[in-house]
Amino acid sequence: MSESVVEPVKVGRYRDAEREFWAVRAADARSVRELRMPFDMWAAIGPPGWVLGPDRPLEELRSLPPVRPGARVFGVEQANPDDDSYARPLLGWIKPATALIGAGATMRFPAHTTALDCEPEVVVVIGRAVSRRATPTDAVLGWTLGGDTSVRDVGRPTGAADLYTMKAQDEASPVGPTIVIGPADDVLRDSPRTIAVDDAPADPITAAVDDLAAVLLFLDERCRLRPGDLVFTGTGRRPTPVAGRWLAEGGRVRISAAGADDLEVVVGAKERARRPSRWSSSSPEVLGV
Amino acid sequence: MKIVRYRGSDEQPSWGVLDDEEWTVRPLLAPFAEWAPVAAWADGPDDLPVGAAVAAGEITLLAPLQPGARVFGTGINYGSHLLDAKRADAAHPPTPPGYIKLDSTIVNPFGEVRYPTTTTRLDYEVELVAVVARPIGDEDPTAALLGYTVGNDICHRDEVSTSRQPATELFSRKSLDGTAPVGPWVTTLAEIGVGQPDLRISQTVNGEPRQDDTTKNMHVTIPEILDWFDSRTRARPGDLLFTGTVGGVGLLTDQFLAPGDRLDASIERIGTLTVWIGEPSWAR
Repeated sequence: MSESVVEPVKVGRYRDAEREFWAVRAADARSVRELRMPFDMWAAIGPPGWVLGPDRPLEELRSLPPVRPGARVFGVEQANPDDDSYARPLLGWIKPATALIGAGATMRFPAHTTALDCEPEVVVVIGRAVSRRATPTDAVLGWTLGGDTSVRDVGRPTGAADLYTMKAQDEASPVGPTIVIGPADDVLRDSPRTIAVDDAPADPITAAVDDLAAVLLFLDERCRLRPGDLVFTGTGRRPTPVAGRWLAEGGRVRISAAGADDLEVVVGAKERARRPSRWSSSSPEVLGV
Repeated sequence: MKIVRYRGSDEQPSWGVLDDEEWTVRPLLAPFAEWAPVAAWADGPDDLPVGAAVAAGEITLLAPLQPGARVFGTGINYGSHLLDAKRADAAHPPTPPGYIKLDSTIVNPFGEVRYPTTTTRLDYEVELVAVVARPIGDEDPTAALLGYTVGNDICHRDEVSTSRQPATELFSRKSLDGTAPVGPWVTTLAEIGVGQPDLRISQTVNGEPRQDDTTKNMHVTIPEILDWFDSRTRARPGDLLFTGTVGGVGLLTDQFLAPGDRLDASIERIGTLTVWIGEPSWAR
């Protein structure tokens, strides 16, 4: 008897001529069914209890980043268990929601950098409040792919890297295309990720988080996590920069992981500075994180 | 002119124009992005889409944060604050430090600041906070402001080194829920002007003077800070920008905050932002 393969449930955010909405995407990726319940409700109860609308052809809709309006975007770096060079304890940062773009969008290339990089990451989506007594990871709704676009030529103004300049660029970090509903532990631990730029061979990425519960508690102790919040979970050992060079105008960035649809974006034209800056002649060191 | 964010008797949060002589508020009846650029230079509420005046005694002041707006900050921006480090080699950084606060960090005027469980060295920082009215154009970036308010960047001083960062990352220091009081209102640009403001800025803890300087002593000027942030995260109507604190923080004398402390942060021509420190707790 052959073993049947159960497709994970994937939820996306879409827009038609009138409004934006969440919908379950069909396995063949040709249609969606609208989720007709409030986010807090469907995120908490899980697929068996969902109330869905009729099939709608995907080609009639525009795909958006799977981000709840008002959601916050956190990021962490944690140890790769076999690499002591990684941050201990956790290192946290924030992206404004305006930093996010969806699959197929154009990545902003700010004027102030010549070292634009992108880290392929598993992005955990929070579905309900984190329990501080039971199992913190029960708060996870699912996961999606993210490109943690990072400006590498930043300084260390406080002794630590300027993570604001590095991580918070508007319209530069892709997420999506859909949320894979279910626990994220396995994909964080076992599923290899790759990132490819243009036609170069894809770079394999190792796991970055070895204890998702600790990550959630680290964030939740500082900022109470809310349903819909996103957590970029870091990049494990990988070549830097991607494919041996920084991102360039027109480059195609494709992030992949088993179980998820590919996330692909194009790097936009480099912006021009509006006015001279007192820092434009400085040459900050190139930093990781 | 002073702009307040408040909750009225209907419990709905609103923006309004405060008359601080008659102590009345006239609610602003249009979206923030429509009235804010006009209010920045208006002589009074008659130039704005306002409703009937309500007695200020019937409102509760809220922090002047537009829903969906973002909160940014920079630091190490006054020479007097360098002395707080108690190091002979303390210097302004070669590039500005930047950080982000979430909306959940913001505390209303006369509210209670959370004492995070992640620190035992909680400190205060009075700061001039710029409030954005519209996108920044080619002119002086401060021309895009609605005005200024007072902020208290309550932060922790515990050093936590990691293998990749030699000092505490700013997320754990600056972005903790319930630690950033802002208010009590916005004084508009018409009263403060375009360019670098020159305003006395001070703070007391339980009535004891701790911080005192003037905003003209900023190392990186507000036009420069706005331009620096705008090149990374384009300024949007309602965004807040903390611009750094002056000398005299608790780090200087190891007099850190304790539950029950009262903080009065004052800036000339704006007002005084009063809050109290709560008991230690997790984010909630």
